[in-house]
Amino acid sequence: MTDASPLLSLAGADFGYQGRAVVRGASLCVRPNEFVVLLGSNGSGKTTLLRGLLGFLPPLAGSVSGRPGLRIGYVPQRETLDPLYPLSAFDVARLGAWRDLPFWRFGGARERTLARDALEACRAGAFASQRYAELSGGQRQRVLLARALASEPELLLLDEPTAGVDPETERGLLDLLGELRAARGLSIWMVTHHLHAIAGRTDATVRVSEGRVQVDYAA
Amino acid sequence: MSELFSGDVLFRNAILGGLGVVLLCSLVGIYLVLRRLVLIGVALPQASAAGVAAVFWITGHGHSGSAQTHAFALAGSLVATFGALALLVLGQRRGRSPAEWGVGALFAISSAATILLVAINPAGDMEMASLLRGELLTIGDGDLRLLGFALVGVAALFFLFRRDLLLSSFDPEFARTLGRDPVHYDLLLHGLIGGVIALGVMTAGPLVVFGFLVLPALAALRAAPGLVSAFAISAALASLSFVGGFWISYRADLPAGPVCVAVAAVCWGLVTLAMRLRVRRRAAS
Repeated sequence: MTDASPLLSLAGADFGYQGRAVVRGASLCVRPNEFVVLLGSNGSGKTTLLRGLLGFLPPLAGSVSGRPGLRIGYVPQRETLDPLYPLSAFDVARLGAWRDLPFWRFGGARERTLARDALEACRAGAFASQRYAELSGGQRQRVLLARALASEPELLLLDEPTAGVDPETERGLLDLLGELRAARGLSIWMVTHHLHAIAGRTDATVRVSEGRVQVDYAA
Repeated sequence: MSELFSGDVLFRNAILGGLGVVLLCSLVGIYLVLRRLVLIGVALPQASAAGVAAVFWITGHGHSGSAQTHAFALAGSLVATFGALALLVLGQRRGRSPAEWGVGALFAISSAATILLVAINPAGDMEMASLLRGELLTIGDGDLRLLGFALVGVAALFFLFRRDLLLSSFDPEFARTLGRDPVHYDLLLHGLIGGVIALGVMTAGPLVVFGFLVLPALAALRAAPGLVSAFAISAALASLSFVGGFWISYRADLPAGPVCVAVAAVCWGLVTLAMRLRVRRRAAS
């Protein structure tokens, strides 16, 4: 029997920087196996809300409560990663598999299998041995998704995964997210600007406007 | 080459000590380059040299003074390096001005302080000047033992925390979602960088330390297909450059440090050229 209690709950939470709230009074629940998008214009506070959900920003007011031991997989914007690192796509995916590996233990077959399976699930196995920095935008996004999957998450948080990719690649990524959700029972929350592309795919929309958060559930 | 090792403790210590320093620098240098901290790698050895010069001036001795003076000089090097590192890191965290402003100011102040402290200390003048030139012949047995321990310690820490250092350096936010605090691993990395620089400058001078922090790592990161191989190539190039440079300096009667750095620069140039040719050949085929 699956646990239907929320993975993460915000109750009147304020998030911001240096004591100044950017997102105010956010109240919402992250439930298991749901696909939710965070929408809002630039500077509206959606990335701040995402950082609050990730636990990077402690709430300035209100509360955040999560299921004990909640495993979050994070997919950042791909431009934030330095291309100088000599890492293959497989190396990048394997980073996620190190979640439960303490520093004194050798990584081994389990981590390699997790990374390989995650790359295959994201249809990125074909370029696993290529250097990450030399991949196209869409390929890199698949590798970052594989890295998050290799960490065996219950909740996937994605920061504008479809930014800067062509419409076909965008459709492919959204199809893939839908498949992963169905196959693994993942909850997926994603920041995007592309309202048209996600039509009919989501369970709820979280709109962030001038720091205020409004949740609309699909009919 | 064998004549350098035959019986003469002076040469043996210089070669083994220098090798220890360049190996340490070549390992730490990979992260220095990847984290884009190269400018810090210029300024910190100079700050360390200023710390050594200050101790020589205060004690009125030179590099070959008593063991106690030597220990004080190492303490001066460590205090100056970690003090400067703390100032730079705190300045970066506040983020009120670009990081290179602080690094530039530190380099200018440290360079001037070193020269002035050497000038006003007649006992330390000659030996400090040779340290700054990169002469390696004053490495004692105690320095050698200390370097051996440091090499083992740094290599062990790099090996033990290889995953956490990579995670925290490549993507600190992702590292946090995996339960790693990147601040802890930043502290570890900066501690390793500071320790290697302080110890290296005391042994081989700022020129050798900076040269081998940067050049082997630059060459390795151009050629290596992965991070592990980058460490291996960097260490191999540093060892080859040092031994080759030391032999050339012995044959040509030149200061060892600058010749070793020049050989490392030639290696970097050759690797860069080879990689460019490879890319061209691939593109043509």
